[in-house]
Amino acid sequence: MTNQPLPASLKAAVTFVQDSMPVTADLVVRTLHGHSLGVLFVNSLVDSDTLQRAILAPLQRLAGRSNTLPELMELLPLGNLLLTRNASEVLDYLLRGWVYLHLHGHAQALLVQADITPEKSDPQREYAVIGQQAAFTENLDNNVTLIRKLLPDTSLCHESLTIGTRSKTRVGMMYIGDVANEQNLNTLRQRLQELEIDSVISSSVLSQLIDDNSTSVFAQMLLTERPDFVAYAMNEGKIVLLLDGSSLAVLAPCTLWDFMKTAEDYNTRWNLGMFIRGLRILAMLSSTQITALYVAALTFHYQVIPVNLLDSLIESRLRVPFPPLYEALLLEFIIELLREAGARLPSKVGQTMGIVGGIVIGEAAVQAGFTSNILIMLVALGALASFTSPNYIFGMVIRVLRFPMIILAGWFGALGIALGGAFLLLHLLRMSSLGHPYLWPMYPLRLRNWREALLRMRAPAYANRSDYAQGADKSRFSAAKAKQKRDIDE
Amino acid sequence: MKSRHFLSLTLALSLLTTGCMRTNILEQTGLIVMVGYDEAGDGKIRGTSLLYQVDPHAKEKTQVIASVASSSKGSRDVNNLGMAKKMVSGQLRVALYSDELARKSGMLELADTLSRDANVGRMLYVAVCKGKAMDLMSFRYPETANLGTFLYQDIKQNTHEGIIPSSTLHEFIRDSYEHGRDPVVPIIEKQEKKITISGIALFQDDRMVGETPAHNGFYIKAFRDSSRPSYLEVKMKNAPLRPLFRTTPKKEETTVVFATLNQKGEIKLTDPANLKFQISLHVRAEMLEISEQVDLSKPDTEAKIADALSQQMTQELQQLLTHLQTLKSDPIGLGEIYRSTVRHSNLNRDKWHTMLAKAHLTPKVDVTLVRSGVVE
Repeated sequence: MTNQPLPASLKAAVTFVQDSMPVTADLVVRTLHGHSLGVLFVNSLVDSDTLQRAILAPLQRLAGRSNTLPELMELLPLGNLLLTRNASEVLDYLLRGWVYLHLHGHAQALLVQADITPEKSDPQREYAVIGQQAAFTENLDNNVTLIRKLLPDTSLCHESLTIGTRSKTRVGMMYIGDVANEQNLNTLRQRLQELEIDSVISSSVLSQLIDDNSTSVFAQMLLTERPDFVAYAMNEGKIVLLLDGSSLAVLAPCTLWDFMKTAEDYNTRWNLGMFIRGLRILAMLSSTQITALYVAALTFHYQVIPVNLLDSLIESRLRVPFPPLYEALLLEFIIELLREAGARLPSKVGQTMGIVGGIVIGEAAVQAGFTSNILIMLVALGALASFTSPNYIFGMVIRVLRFPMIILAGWFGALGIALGGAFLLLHLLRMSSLGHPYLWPMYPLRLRNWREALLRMRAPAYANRSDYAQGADKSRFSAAKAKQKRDIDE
Repeated sequence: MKSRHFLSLTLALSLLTTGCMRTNILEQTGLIVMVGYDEAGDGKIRGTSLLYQVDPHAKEKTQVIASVASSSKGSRDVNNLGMAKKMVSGQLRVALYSDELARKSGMLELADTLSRDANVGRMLYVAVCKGKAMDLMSFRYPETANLGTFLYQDIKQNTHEGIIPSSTLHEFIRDSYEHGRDPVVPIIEKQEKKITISGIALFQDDRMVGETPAHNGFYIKAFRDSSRPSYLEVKMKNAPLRPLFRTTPKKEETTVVFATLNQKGEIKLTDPANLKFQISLHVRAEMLEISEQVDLSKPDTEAKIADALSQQMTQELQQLLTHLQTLKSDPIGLGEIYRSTVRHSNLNRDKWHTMLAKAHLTPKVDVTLVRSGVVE
């Protein structure tokens, strides 16, 4: 859009705005004074109180007197007003929550600031040290506003639909028009429209109803409460679903690696971000294996234990009455119990759980000769590693996967671990999210896309969007220009 | 869909009906850390095993058990009868052979048995001991709680950072079968209440035919193993160094100790018809110590010391090679060089050992000293 001038006629101006804002579910056009004055605004961005009190009420009192824009300005009891003839500026301001007044016959716009400050809650599940201290609330319009505030882009689309014959839940589908992939949009739309169900209460229930493989333990759509993370994801072509009454947004399509990313990775410097992300991925992958490896080594493969470990391992195991398999299962079970109890308890009592757990497990179990202290360390390490998951549900998946792994290791040793790993890998390879491979870019191998999808690199490296879920707009900025460093005097 | 059901059913059944694999739960096994073999007359062998003692209340960290049988595995089975736990060999680190056994009947049979055992790692160290292995193993050394682990670490650090040529089971087997190379293993000796590596055993095929002091391990190692930093102490006559001394020397000989940065042995067959070998060794080192006062501030002092060292070491290498030729033992792999340069040589081990005695070996060591300490 160049600096095209505004049309003078009200009708033309309204059509222009409606055409330039694609699929915006909440552009409101009011005409007053017998179609001589148009009031345009984006509903979710405008503070309705201000709108009524300071804009619509004075205008209605004016009732039909023909007037000029300066006179209108006099009339409105608001501080921030702006006159402009530039059409694209009008669009920008509309998306920032300003109200656009158009007098028929004047090729000029009066913009009035009446934007709403969206409410936000504190992030409870996905905390970030650096970055937005904001999370979605349970109000759909408010959540849409939160995203719009981060991306006031004319091509940010927002479609509304209603799901559930009884619950009639309002669902908002948001995406960036020229970045999201048309095919994905159609798939998702179709799935939502074909859903016949009496009630959908929360977004996580919805995501389970419309995913590709409902039998798997792995979720194929990501739930997040962070608007900034959603904004990052939308820039990569993902689609967001928001539900009225849910503070979790659903992102699709997703790869396995998306579940290991946080907004923090983007907010820290790229090399630190890559380190943290690498640490997290490593921790989560090893968390499923670590106890199983202990069980396998102690049950079958005493050969692989290093000399320096033998002494301490044997001594710690001497008083334990069970074979390693039962010992490990018992301890994992206790850890899960602790976690579950901690999650169920109110936070004030939850503190005591930690103490009880620490004493019961750490001290008493070893003293009583119930478990070996090395295993306690490993199980705690595994639990710790699973808690690095930025996504609570994904952490859960990792913890559940350990049990079959441990049982396989206890039955067949390293062979069992290899079998379990192979099955897991096969399962992941067959999975898809909105029809896109779940392990992309590892499989199918797209080395070129690693830097956008898996690693966290310096700015020039992600100048182009990855091939995953690609839309029309393939580049984010010019890589060549990003590499230039210009001094101020050039 | 049907095939999928069938597949999952088969998998589930295969898990439940395959029975159990044989487990070796760590604390229910007797881990053998070290074995020793002696001659026991009548073609029999006395096998001694040293095991981890896993009872924390026991006085000793290890348990030694010995028996006589016709084979090594047989002796282990006899030993097993007197054990509370099943003896397993997966943690075996050191195998000792008495020098008597090594000289008389050779070690290959016993070593081969070990290497065929899937549980035994091929990186265990093979060593020869002076006297009976059983006596050496059943003695309680005041400094070491676990002789097996101690010896393993002793040999390991001396092969990794010292002057002892590497002698893992894998290398021993390889050198015994390869045409044109003989194994070499360290000699372990009990001295009073201490145990130490006292020298290096030289082999012809798998039989021990002689020994050489540990000092000479440096030369053998330089031609056998990949170059790692090491150290050496060289004693030499005062004469060539006399102009460098600040004071009159107190002793007959001057001792120089240096740490090498790298040493590279190179063997060239210069004349295949007359079996002439050029054996050169390049050493880059930093001097650590010299027993006499020398003026290191002069620019050519280091070069002169290096020259004297080169001469002395060439002599030592010459003596070692002559010794090897008289024993008809070839630990540095001259035969391999011959076999790879001369076509259709049809070399076999016996043929090479007779040829070796007739070979002309010209050694040359050149030492470069790069540093002589922090204060220049």
